[in-house]
Amino acid sequence: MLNAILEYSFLQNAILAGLLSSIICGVIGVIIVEKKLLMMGGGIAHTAYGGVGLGYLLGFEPVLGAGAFSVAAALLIGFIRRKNSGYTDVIISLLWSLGMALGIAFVGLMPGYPPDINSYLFGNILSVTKGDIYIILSITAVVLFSIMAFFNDWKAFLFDSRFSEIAGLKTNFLEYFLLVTVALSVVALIRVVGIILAIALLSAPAACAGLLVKSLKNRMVVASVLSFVFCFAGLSVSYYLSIPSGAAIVFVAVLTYFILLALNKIKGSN
Amino acid sequence: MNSAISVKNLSVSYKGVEAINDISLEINKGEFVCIIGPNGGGKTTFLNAVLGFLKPNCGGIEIFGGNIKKARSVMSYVPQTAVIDRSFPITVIETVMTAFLRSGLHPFKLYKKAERERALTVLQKVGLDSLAQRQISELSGGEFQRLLIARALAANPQILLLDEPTANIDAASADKIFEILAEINLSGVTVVTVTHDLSVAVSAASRLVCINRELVYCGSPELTDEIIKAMYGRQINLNGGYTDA
Repeated sequence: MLNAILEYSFLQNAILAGLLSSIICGVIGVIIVEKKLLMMGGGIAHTAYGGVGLGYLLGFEPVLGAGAFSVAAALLIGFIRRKNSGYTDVIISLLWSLGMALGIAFVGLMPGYPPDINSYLFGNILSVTKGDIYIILSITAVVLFSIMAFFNDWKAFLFDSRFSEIAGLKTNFLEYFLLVTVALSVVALIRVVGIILAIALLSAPAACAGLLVKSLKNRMVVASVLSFVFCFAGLSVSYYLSIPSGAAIVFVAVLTYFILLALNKIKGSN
Repeated sequence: MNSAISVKNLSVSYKGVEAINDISLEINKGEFVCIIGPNGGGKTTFLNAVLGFLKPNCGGIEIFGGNIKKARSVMSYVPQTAVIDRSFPITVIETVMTAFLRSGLHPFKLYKKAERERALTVLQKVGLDSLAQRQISELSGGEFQRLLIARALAANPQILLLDEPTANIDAASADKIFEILAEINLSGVTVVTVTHDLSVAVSAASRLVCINRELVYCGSPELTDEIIKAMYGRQINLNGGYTDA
């Protein structure tokens, strides 16, 4: 495997994409898990499929379409949440389905044979290009800087946003920024594990870290490391067993979580 | 001016339903006011309106003669513990120090030594200083409630608003919390708390406000049978439980 990494540039790209997206998964994943925004993350991720389809139909980069759709979905969900109307879950579910439906419809409207867009649904880390790396790198830089620079503000907001609002913290800004960051994270993960599996890579490392360490900062660090381990181990499994890389990464991540959970339960009962 | 909170003809809806209707009352500086009433009677809605989370359909609220948003710097708030995720990874002292993050955003903020000392001082006031480095998930219900009071105190408020601070905790912890609130009140802070605990409310408050969608009673902490019946539709034994009257 190591020889292959040194030999093939597509494997080097895959490792780099895995490393960068692991940082995103570690940081944003912990926030999503702790703030219990997994359903929302799933909604935003699946809405992105509409953008992928539109990109194919109109002939522009599908990842940009995915970004535009997921950011729009994030802003809409944020707006509905702020209104506190009680419809948030319904809206998320509808956006989830609508995004997928639009993607299928847009691809269906294309003349001739439809393109294979499975790699956007299930990811293909081995097909990551230099251009994808730049996109993932930019998103990682934005995510990392914004979380590190305002770490204490984030912590206060995530713990109790109402108290923070009374204290005068800019909770409106933080909420919308968080949702947009989730949307961008999904875009970064599309090439690695795909729209459908992105939520697994956002949640599994963070959930594993939650079983291993206590503080928020340590959870982000451990989740990032675990995420990279899952990507690398998944790639290895994919390489040796000739199964799709996105699926292999998710298998490793989910299996590790259940093993850690079982160990945790055994430890707790002793 | 002696008025801390001035409410005039306040009507507020929550999720499309009018929760409180035409309430007017004045809460003066240094008072200890307990708001009581049945479930769904609008107590929490009233509190949320005072905090500026809900906009009135009509009427208005003034805090120290000004509008709510501007007066938020002098208010602090203790939410119901049920609405807070106690599994969140944060320590006791970090929770208190979130009260120091006021106005705007705080890039690259590191808590100063003075802020840590201030946090420890307020933790000491509520008897939690020895648990400062614990995760909040390790606290009992009563300890967690006291922590939320400590966080509110760290903001150095002139008005402290609490939403059912004794819900889901044992009687001894509830007594301890009202003792702490009485001490806070003695230091000059106006305390306004929503509570279901009628006996504690009667003994601790300087004034009772009874809300059942409308203002049923506002006055000295003596509950007559008529007031209780107007609020709950039946008699209630203040030591707990209903009577067959």
